[in-house]
Amino acid sequence: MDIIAILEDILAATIRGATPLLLAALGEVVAQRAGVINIGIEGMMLIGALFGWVGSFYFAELLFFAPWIGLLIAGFSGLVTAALFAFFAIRLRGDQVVIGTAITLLALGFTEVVYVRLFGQTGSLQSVPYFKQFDVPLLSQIPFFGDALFSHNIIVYLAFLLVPCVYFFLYHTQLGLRVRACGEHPKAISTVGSSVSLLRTISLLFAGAMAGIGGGYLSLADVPYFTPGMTTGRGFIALAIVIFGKWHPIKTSGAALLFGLGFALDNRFQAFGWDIQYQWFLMLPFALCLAVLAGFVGKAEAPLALGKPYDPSE
Amino acid sequence: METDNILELQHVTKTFGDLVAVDNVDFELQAGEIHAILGENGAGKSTLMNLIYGLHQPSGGSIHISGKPKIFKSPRDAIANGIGMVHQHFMLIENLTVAENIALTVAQFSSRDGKTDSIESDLKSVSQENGIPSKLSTFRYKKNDAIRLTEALSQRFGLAVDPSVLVRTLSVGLKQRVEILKALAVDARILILDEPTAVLSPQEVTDFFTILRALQSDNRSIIFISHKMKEVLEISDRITVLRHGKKVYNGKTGERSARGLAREMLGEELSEVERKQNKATTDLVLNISGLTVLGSRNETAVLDVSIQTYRGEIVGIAGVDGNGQRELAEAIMGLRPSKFGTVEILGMQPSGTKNIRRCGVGYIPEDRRTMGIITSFSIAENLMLNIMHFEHLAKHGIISQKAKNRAAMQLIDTYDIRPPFANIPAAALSGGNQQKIVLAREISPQPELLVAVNPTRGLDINAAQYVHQNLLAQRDRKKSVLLISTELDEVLQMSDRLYVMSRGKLIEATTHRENIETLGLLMMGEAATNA
Repeated sequence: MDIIAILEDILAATIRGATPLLLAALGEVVAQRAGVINIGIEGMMLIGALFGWVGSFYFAELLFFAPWIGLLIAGFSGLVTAALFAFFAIRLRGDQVVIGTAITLLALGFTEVVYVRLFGQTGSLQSVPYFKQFDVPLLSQIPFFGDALFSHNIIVYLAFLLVPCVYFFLYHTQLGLRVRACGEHPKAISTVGSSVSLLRTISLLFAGAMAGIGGGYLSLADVPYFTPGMTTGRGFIALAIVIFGKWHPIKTSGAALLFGLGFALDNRFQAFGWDIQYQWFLMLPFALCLAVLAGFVGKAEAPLALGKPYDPSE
Repeated sequence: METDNILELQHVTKTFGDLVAVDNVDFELQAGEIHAILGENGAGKSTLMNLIYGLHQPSGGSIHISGKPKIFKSPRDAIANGIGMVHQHFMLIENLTVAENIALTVAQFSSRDGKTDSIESDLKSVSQENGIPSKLSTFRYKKNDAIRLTEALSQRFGLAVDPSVLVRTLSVGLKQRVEILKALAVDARILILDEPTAVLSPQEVTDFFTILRALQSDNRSIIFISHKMKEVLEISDRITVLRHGKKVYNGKTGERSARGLAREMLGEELSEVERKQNKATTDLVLNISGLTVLGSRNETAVLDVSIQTYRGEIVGIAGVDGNGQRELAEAIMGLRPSKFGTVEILGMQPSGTKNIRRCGVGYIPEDRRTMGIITSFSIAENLMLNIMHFEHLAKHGIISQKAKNRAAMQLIDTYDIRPPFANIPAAALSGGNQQKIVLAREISPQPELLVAVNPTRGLDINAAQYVHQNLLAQRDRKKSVLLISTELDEVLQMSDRLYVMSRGKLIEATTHRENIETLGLLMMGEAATNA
């Protein structure tokens, strides 16, 4: 393997690895800009991964459309989970960290139970119709970059196209302006006649749907299987990405690529067959996460009202 | 007369549980009048305004706009009916620009027919040649449109402010301007101003009153809430006094003397704090020389400050908030490192807050809720927080519960903390009683030096007097007091010697009341005029 081919391979893997992180993080950016810390993101991804896969399984005869239906179901299941979060965190004004942790733990158990109920304790993995590689016409012919950037499944392209969309929403629409205001000074936004709980609920539902789709990507595009606990901390990494991306969608996409590189290197290094225990490589993205947060979290400027329940009577 | 009432409240009542915050209040506001509402803290002024603005809903009675009864479910309804409010704590989003803050309000209401017509035609006339938008899109946020709209509003009302800067970079006076613009942007005919002058320097107050008069001549009505008698008498056409949620007085400005109004506010004769003449001593307590301190954003907050305090005197430091007072106090207490200079207490240079306190320094911090007490702790526990009490009540680090409660009850008794129970959380107490906890804790060990920062902020007149008596008692015990306050009246009344702090520097000033204009100029950093 020559060096060019290795680089090409790593770049392509970086982008694939970044995609589920980016999807979840983009939703989380919006939720946190509205002032809600959605720690349940890991659980929402896991639920999305399961139900997306189940959806594709049951609609398997539709072939091409099966993974699309699966992805829709993944997003919807994430949204429903987020609605549960919203009920406790916004309606009942509970502690967001506690509720989010509870949702993640709940999802871990729930997805495994559902999976085992449906398919039993099978040793073999059940394959479903999934998103196939889609080479972008012409662009994929470019040497080096063609294979690295334009020979992925369709969700990869859509995820990166969403970045400017979220940016436009936050910075160039009135609703986006209100979402940002909501995370800075919710009382101020309510005194000009907006509903804080409505804004936060919408943002949270969006975050849930995006986390669900991110999870669905794992079981419908990365691999055509579901395994319990398959998100392996990607939700928490998405949280770190949001902080590292300074709550800005474009910077967040950069952060997602950095962590995607972490996952890519982890895989490549394992493949090199070096005489190092593979667990060291598995640790790589998380060690990166720790290093990045330790170095940057102090300088980051979080939305002022982040994580604080809004009580209009105060 | 009746038809002139743009706003009328009839028998409005608001209860929170058992507490009657507003009790059967009638209120009338005429078009183009400035109507002041006077009352102590907790008299129900803010609650009444929140009812008018739709933040709370009345438990009884009715609100009429131009003769028609209205129900405001949220501020949205109030705004749509031409009511604007400038809250005491600004409702601005600090990390957004001025234009964005304005746009947040405008976009929600410009789409409605009718209500903003007049402001739109106003703006059109201002902006015909430039093609400035008179409304904003409800979907897209267009930065340039918002900026031009803000500029047009500024021009129309003569309230100059840069639309494209972040709100957090503005001075308090300018922030207030943005708040007023926000209300005017949706064509508020009734403006509620909650304690608008509390944060302003004397010069800014003068500018502010000019703005109010201009709005008045535009036939807009203003409700002006304050507890500053002098300002109310100067600006208002009519005065309503609230006490314990009830309306106790209503009349034209000038019908009652200041003293008469104060009596209505308090329900009793106001007793002035007795202040004996003082013999200055030459015993040095605090000696600061050449002190320079950095603020939290690494800016120079205190610059080359030198000041001495002696036994048996109160030294006052006046100044507008944010001119380095907080950093100075924190540097004295060892809570913030100093860059240059020395702080000597009784000839020693202790390092660290613990050692500084051991030298006999008491500290009343500026914000009792975040720095003075721990609201979830009991009264007794809060009283124990002072290291001097702690050492006395604990053996080998273990607190004797009996001794703690006994000591607490004694202090609760001496300082009249109500309700008088050692083990209820401090959060359950009123602001005045919370401050008494701080006083009891800091003054009872009789410190050689007491550093008090805004010790009466947010307290009613009686509680404030109690604090003042304690500061004076400390002086009469031949201790030294450093009083840092933004309340000019307070420092003038209390101080034996007076300084003004402006942009990190100290300037010596006189305590004569006649020099209040000069003091105001000093506070704004206009030195040299006093010479």
